Amino acid sequence: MNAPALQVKQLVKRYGGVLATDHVDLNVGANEIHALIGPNGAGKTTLVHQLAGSLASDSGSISFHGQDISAMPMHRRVLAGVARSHQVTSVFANYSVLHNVLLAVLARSGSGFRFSGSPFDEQALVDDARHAIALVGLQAKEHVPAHALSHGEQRRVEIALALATRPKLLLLDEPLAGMGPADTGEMVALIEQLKVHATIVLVEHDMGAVFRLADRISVLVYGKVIATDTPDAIRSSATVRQAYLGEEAVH
Amino acid sequence: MDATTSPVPLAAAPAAPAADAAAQSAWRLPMPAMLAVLATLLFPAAATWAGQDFYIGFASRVMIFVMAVSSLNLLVGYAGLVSLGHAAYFGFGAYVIAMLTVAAGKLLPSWATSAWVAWPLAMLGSALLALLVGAVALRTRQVYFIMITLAFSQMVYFLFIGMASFGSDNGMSLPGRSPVGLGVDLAKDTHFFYVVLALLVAVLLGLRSLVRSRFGVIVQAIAANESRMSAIGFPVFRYKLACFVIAGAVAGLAGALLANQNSYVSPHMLDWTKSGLLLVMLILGGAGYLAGGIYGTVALLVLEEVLSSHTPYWQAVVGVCIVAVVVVGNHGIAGMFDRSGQSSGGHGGH
Repeated sequence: MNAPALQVKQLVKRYGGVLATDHVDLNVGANEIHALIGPNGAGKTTLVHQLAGSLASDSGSISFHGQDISAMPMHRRVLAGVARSHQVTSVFANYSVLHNVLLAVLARSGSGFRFSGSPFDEQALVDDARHAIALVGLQAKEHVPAHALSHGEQRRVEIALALATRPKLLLLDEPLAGMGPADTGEMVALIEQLKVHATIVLVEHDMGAVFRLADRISVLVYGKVIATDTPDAIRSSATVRQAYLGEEAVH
Repeated sequence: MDATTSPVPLAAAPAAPAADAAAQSAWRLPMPAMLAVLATLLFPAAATWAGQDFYIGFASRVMIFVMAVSSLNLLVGYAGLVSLGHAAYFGFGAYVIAMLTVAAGKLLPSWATSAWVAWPLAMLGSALLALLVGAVALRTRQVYFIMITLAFSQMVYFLFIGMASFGSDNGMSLPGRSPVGLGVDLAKDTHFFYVVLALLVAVLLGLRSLVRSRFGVIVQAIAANESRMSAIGFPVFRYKLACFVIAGAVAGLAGALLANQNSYVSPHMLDWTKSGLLLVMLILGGAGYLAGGIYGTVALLVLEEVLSSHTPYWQAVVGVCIVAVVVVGNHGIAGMFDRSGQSSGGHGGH
């Protein structure tokens, strides 16, 4: 197998006496969709926080395309190509879709310490923003303020914000949360398309979507990875079923 | 940890920007602004003609406070950083002038008091003070930030109260206004008026440019949702600190001008009630609106001037006016104009 795009080695995060992340190893290949599943409280979001850089690990390492990013603060990781969408929609409610995404483009477009000339007049920036907006299918709603969008559309703005930084690693934290069947179908199709552009780590509870999208799945229980394998193998694994999937309805 | 809370209630929430993103020249101003500039240009001549020369000095004082309040506007109205210690940078600028006056001819060459040297140094001094305070204070949020800015400001206040060489509690008179050369004599109220006006216009145009620029858009977004801006990849601390320093520097310039206006500096320019006054003027005028600094300052100072000669209870009247404006809407006087369709520019849009 090729050198993994994302390599996590023996990652540890402690909260008091509790191991939220218990010596986690993870290897994700380039342009792979790698799903993280597990019961609530298993530490999936904690792990995503550590990958994104919003939480410092206690020990272990994270490297991306061979570069050790373990000590990098969040804004440097974004420049290194790591982007994250949030579990709880956290877009700028009063800003239009374009304004939202333009901010994400700005983060990667040279110095923000310019005191004259509006970024809305910079064609290159606006084009980049429109490209990301088109990828999530919201071109028609470019000037709509985010608070006026449906929940599903807001989740898509979330993704567009992550895409606008042209990431090579996309961390999607429960992108389907709170979505009805129609929205879910669209989001799943979108994520499938994004695979071409980036390596994806996907945290999700919707098992149908996970089995449809994932190239490989890691199962996290009490902070430990108990299994990493293809969807079929995971689905038929007795260990996994016992620890997690057992009572879950797979739809 | 808050992801979507708006900034401290005193700051205006950014409104949805206009759908039309057409470029707007930084130099073309809306008609009301042009008229205001014209009226101000003619003011000294009008005052002299009416035999009311005193008001030329008064108008200069108003403009100086407009500058100081506008610098606070950048912090409160655009960056969402409510500072209750802004008088420190205002007063420190004035004290730099005093320090240069005392040192000139002894430790420093005599040209150190020239406006061309002293006023930039006042800005630099206040900027450095803001850098030191901001580096610490900006690591806190919301109420803690307010308290820390207040605390630092009081520290500087007490520092100057203790300085015997500058007159301690009584303050210090300055021999005269800063020399400028070029045929300009600031001792003449009219000359001083026009110099202050020119600087104020430069500051307001600079503020206008800044809020529309990359820097301004980023700073306002940080005020709207700081943790998201961090996640997007902005070093938010750096931007907030830069804002704090810029606001401090402009306040320092206003302080230097006030020292000139009064030919006097006093520690009381720095105390917390002055910080509170700047904040009240700003909120009254409308934080987050470019003209907010103008409306609030003019309203308060003119009311004070007009009412204080009629009644000793003028502060009660002013208080009622402030309450009335706040009850009508929480965007100050500028907000009231905005509701009637006439936007004064800025305020989160572009």
